Order: sequence, then C-alpha cells, then structure tokens
Amino acid sequence: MERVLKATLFLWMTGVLWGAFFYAPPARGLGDSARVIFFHVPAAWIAVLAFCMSLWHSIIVLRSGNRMSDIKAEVAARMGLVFCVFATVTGAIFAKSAWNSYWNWDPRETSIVVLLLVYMAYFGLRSAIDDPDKRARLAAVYAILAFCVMPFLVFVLPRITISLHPDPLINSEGQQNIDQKMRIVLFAAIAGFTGLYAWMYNLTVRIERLVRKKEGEDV
Amino acid sequence: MTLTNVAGAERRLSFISKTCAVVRKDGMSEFRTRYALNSALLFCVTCVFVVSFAVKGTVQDTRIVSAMLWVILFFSAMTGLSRAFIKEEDQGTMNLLRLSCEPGPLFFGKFLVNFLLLLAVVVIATPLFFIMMNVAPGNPAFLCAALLPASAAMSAICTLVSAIIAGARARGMLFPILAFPVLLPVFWVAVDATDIAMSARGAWQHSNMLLFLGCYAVAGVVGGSFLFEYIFEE
Repeated sequence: MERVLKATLFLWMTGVLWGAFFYAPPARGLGDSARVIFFHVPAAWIAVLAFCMSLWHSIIVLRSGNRMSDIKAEVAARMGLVFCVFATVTGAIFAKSAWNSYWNWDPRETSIVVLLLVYMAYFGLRSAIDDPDKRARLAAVYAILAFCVMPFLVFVLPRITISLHPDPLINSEGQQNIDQKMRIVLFAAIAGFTGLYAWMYNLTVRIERLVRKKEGEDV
Repeated sequence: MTLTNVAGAERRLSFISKTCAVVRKDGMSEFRTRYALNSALLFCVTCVFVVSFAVKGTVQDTRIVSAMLWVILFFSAMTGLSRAFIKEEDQGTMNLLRLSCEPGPLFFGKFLVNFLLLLAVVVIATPLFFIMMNVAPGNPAFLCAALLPASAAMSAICTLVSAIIAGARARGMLFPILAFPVLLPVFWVAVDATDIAMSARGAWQHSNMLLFLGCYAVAGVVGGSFLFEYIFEE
C-alpha cells in the first residue's frame, strides 16, 4: 500500500511539473515568470498547514504532556520551516521579475517572513533547553503565542496598509480571477505538495521517535 | 513562616492585592538597584546620541526618523524588560513565588512593572530623540496615543517571553530572537503611526492604527496571562 502511494505521489508530482511548464499558459502581463506560482503558492500553503499542525500538537502537549505530540509538533515545525524558506525564495524571485525588487515589505511578504522568524526562534528555544519535559512545554507555549500573531498579520494589517499581492483565490467577491488551465495545475500542485508534506512528515516523525528512543527518552 | 501559614495568607489575598504585592516587591527591588531602569535608559540614551551623531541633523525624512526612534525603543526594551523572570531564576526565588502567588497576579504584576519601566524610558528618550534629531512631531497627542498602547503591548509580550526563556541557556541572545517575530506587528504599526504623527494635520483619520495597537496590547495581556499558567507550573 505504501509503495502504491509513493508511486502515485511520484507520478502526480511529475504531472504537476509537466503541467506547470507545458500545460498552463503564461500569465497575462507577467509572462513565463508567473509559472513560479505553481510552486510558491503550494509551498506557502504547506508552511501555514505545518504551522497549524504544530500548533495543534502544541496544545495537546500543554493539555496532556504527551511526548509523542511534542515530536509531531517539532517535526511539523521543521517541515514548515523548509517549505517556508522555499516559499520565501520563490516569492522573492517572482517579486524581482514582477516589481523589480526582491523584497518590498508587502503585508503578505511580511507575514511569511514573520513565520520564518517564528520557526527559527522556535528551534532556537528548543536547542537552549536541556530538560525534555520543560523543552516540550515552553516550546508549545511559544508556538501558541506566535500563532496568536497570525490573525493580526493576515487579516488586520493588510486592511490598514497597501498590498502588492492580488486578491486571494477565494476572495471577498467569491470569484476566482485565474485562467481555467492555470487553476487546474495550481490545485493539482497544492494537492501534490500536501501529499509530499504528509509523506515527509510521517517519515520524519518515525525517524525522530527512533532518535529520541536511542537517546533514552520515553516515547 | 511555615507552609501552612503561607497557604493561609495566600487564600486571603485577592487578585488585586496580590498583583499590588508583586508590583511593590519588584518596584522596591528596582528602586534599590535601579538595574533594569539604568541599563535600559543608558542604552537608549547612548543609542540616541550615536544616531544623532551619525546623521548630524541631516535626516529630515519623517519615515526614517520614525523608524530610528522605534529601533532604539525596541532594543532598549530588549535590554531592560528581559529581567522580569530571569532575575527570579538567578536569585533562586522562583519556587518561593510559585508557593506564595498564583500565576495570574504574578504575570499581571510583572507586566505592570515592565510597563512602568518602559514608560519611564519612553518619556525620557522620546523628547531627547526629537531634540537631538532636530525634528518636532506635528501632532504630539497622536504620538503619545500611539506610544502608550505600543509600550503596553511590548511590555506584555516581553514579560511572557522573559518567563519562557528564564530556564533556558543563552538567554540574552534568545530574548530578542523570540520577542521580535511576536512584536513585529506592533513595531510596524507604531512606525507608521509615528510617521503620521510627524505631520500636523489628518493624523486622527488614522485612529484605526491606535485601535490596532490597543487591541494588540489587550490580546498580549490576556493571552499572556493564560499561557503563563503553563510556564509557571513545574
């Protein structure tokens, strides 16, 4: 079963790559450089999804002190950091071609950079505490505290400042301002990246559990 | 005093009186040593002089001036506000606090002390900064209305982060790293609000920024006191 899933994921991602470069048309006014959205948007989505999963497991850590949830929270944050870096780099490349500058401190750019800083601070905190229980608890508190910032960044700040980004796909008018072919590839890429994340997450949780067992932790 | 006496005394104290007790304890301790106030204030004043010396009154762009002010205030807060719980951990009094006070009043008391400390720094450093930079805010009332909730938000977040890092290694380095992402929205809006306060007219049309800072401060205090319970338990 696992092999079938892995083969399906491989074929799906191959299809996404083909679709991104050959099936989807170039965007009006932006040309071929807009193809980066097929990788940038799913990576940003995974960064947020991983952050939410890390938050969920952090809440469980605080409620029950479950060591396995601490592993899951840490691994989700680690995966989130990888995808967040990917989203930031692809976004900066696209910003250079679209707005002639790698970085503009647009509200969405700011939210992704805050997410990046939060993840880095989270791992900085984890590495500075020796006791596993204390580390799990304090890292969970920080993950929840950092998550509380997100509504202010995502919902409030863009409304009191000016954004260079277009409206979200699912916007206030309920319309999707995107070509049909591009939409198919984009949603396929989001599904593919989610599958890739699930596979990497599952694998890393198992590895981390073995590492902690070897270090003498009770997990 | 036996443990039974301590527990009995604890029950009789209400939330407010316990908060006042924490403020009084920390206030007296700070009054004796003036460690946090001196370090934050001296750092802030030094920064103001360094910045003023570097630009020699040539910077008149309100955006740059506002950004400079908030960079100085941010790092001054990082210098002075980190000690709230670190000093308890260093002096070995954290367990005594656990025994004699509940998490809510303790967090709120520590927040109030940090807030007063930051306000003292802001009240002294902000006019000095404008004098040294040779600029004057066009709307001082709007500036004050922005400084007050921004300082409250910074104090609340710094108090909680101080509690998080109290038991960690490399605390001095870790404090700004942990605090900055959480304080970034405050920093962003505070710089914008200060920039707007530099012009005399139309500042109050942007009062939604003040509302944002106020809401962030309230969220910081309420969320902080809720999360602090989990840090406080041992």
